[in-house]
Amino acid sequence: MLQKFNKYAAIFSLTFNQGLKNYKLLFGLSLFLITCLIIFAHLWKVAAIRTHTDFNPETLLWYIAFNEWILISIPEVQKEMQEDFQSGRLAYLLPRPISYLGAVFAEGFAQLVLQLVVLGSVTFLFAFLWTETFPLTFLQFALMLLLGLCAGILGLLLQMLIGLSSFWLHDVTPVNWVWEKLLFIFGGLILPLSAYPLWLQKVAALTPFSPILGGRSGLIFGFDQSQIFSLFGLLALWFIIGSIALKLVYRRGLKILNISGG
Amino acid sequence: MSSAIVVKGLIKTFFIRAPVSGFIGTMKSLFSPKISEQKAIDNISFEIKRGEKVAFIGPNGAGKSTTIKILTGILYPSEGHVEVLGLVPWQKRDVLGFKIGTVFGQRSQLWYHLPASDSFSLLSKIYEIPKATYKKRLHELIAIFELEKLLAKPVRQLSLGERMRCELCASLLHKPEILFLDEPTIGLDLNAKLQIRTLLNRLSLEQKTTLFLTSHDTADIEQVSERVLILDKGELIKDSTIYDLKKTYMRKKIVTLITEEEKISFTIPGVTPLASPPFHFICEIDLAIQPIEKVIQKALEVANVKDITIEDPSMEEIIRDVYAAKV
Amino acid sequence: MQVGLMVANNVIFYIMWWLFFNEFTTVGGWQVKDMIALLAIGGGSYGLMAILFGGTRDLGKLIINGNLDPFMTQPKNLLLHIAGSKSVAKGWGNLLTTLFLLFFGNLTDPKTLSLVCLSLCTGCLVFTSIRIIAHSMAFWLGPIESLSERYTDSLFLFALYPTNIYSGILQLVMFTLIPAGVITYLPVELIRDFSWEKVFILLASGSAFSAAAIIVFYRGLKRYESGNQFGARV
Repeated sequence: MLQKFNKYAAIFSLTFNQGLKNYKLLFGLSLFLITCLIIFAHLWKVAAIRTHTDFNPETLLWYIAFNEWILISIPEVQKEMQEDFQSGRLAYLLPRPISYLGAVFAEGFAQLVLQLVVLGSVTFLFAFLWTETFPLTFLQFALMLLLGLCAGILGLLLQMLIGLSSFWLHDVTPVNWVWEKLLFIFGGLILPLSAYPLWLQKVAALTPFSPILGGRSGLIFGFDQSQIFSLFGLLALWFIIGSIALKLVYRRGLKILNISGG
Repeated sequence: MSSAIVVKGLIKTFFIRAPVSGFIGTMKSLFSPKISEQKAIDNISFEIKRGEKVAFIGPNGAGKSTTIKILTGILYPSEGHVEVLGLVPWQKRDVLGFKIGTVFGQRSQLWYHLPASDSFSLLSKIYEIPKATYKKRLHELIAIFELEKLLAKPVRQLSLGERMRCELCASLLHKPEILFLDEPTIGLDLNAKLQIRTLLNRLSLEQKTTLFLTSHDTADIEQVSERVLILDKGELIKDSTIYDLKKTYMRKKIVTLITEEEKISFTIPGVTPLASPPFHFICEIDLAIQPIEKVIQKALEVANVKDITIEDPSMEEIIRDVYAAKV
Repeated sequence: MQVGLMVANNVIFYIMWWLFFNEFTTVGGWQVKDMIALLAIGGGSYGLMAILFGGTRDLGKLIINGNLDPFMTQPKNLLLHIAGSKSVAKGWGNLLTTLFLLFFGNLTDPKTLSLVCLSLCTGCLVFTSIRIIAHSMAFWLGPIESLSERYTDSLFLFALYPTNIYSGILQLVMFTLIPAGVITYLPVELIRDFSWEKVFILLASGSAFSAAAIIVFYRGLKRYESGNQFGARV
């Protein structure tokens, strides 16, 4: 059992170290994230003024910060998976005494953790310096970080699901494009979720996008204990659903491979 | 058990959706898709003993990679019986994984931006190799493959030949009993090819590893393998040792004459002219029909011969003949 | 069928977008029609890039993996060859959506249409140039493809907002580093209030970005050829 864990731990540390070596990417992503923060904050401030909604611009920035932090940290594993399928590298990886999905997850998890830490530090430091406020207590902040980690893990899982569509599609980018649009709309990236019409908020709450992004970040507007629990619960629920879907789709995909070659 | 691989009556049929174009075609295919059957492997049987070095050859689409995928447990057959090291590959893929190694010439199992040593270390964990064993094994392999200077470089900075040596090393860390190689020398320069072949032979000799290799390079076949399985359109058209194959086709010799005359011709039974560029005459002699002395005698009668070269047919020609015979 | 899905997907997205920015459109005297034109040009330019220069998406990966060599040995212009090597289907979805939007917004008179076409061309050039520059950073910075693509995608996103809502430095950024203003804002202003001056600025910007992209790429290529970053590759 320990030996099994060791395999995935080894992949994790190798990926983590490789990511650290590629610090230029981390630096670039941080810069990119800050730019997005500034632009969106300005955009929404203007929108808030013109639509006469009362959003505190400082809190708004923190909302965007919590959203973008997760959005940009989720690694794009679906691209690597597509590469594995198309290049035939999968034939190399399957006979090994290690689960393919497990290996992909370990790799993605390492990228996720590294990016969460680096981008999180940059984002929150920037938000703090820019707004000169810190809208949460330390306990609340810690809970938000934990929620963020869970949200990232769910996001990673769903990206893997998208990656599996390589079994059927030559190019997963169309699927990813749709996924990103849905994330955008139901994750509260156009506007804070709480600014959406009520019926749309209800729809969003039924999707995984809300707990991953907008629903989670929305806590910044009014930290509610009970909401924390329901968010954790939702994330866990979607994670279970996603894992089952992942296993089923993978098995089906292998079967298709067997029936029609590849 | 002395058998490494046992294959009996293997059949693999794929069901492929006929590709459709256009909106109407797509709609049609949703409701009544046209599915065509493609027999990738049509009833092949063979047995490979431990320690053998076997070449598995055939044109593209002959079914080679499908066979390897079945032997490594990625695919399962439509019919037939397959056993690798006493295990049914697709049922015991995990267990089998510890005992087999794979090298795919055109793809890599090494992490591209990291030094090879990092990939080796990762593989040691994946294959659950105890640390002490791994260290000793790595030491051996580094010596065999001459990798000391390469280990610290990121894989992307290695030449293709250097990378192949690292790939081979990676595939052998867990001391597999069978090594599957798919086009291991493709794209390599002559020196590198020679090096890889020598290493493979040494491997087989010292470690008794069974080698199962596919290649388009006939020199690979000749210099590494002892036995050759020839596949064509999913059928096994030849299963013979290299020695027997050559002996059968040693009945033929290729004779090149350089003559003072620009063009000569002579016809005697058993001689097939192959080419006659100016001042040259190249023919193939079937020794079963005509002994070689008679042919040379006749040539000397008919022309002023300045030079004679007598060669065995190349492996390529032998294989071509095998295909031709099948047709 | 994929294209159909794309169009549907885009349309839904734009409808949602528009729903939210209903009030937004009073900015700077803009009307709903102008917002539609903005979306049409933004989406259409991106689609045009995907169709004509879809190969640029993989430029970063080609550079990192040292796979430029096969392109370099052919007697065609390298950059054009790579850019044109792929045509991404979703681009057609975007173009069709643009057509749909143009009809929907009653923007089909010949004058407007010709301005739209011009804008699509310049917009496509700017998108492509930014993408080439973003991916060419790989020559200097190594494996940063995910950043390059994010940067290009964000440009698309920001092009869907009218840039007159920004002020000061941000306005400048919107015409230089993240030239969303050049791609959509300027063309819409051109349609609203025609002037040759604007046409000139539009054309000049398109050319300037294209020139920048070419310069950056070929500069980077020198590093690739010199082999000091990537070692010997057979």
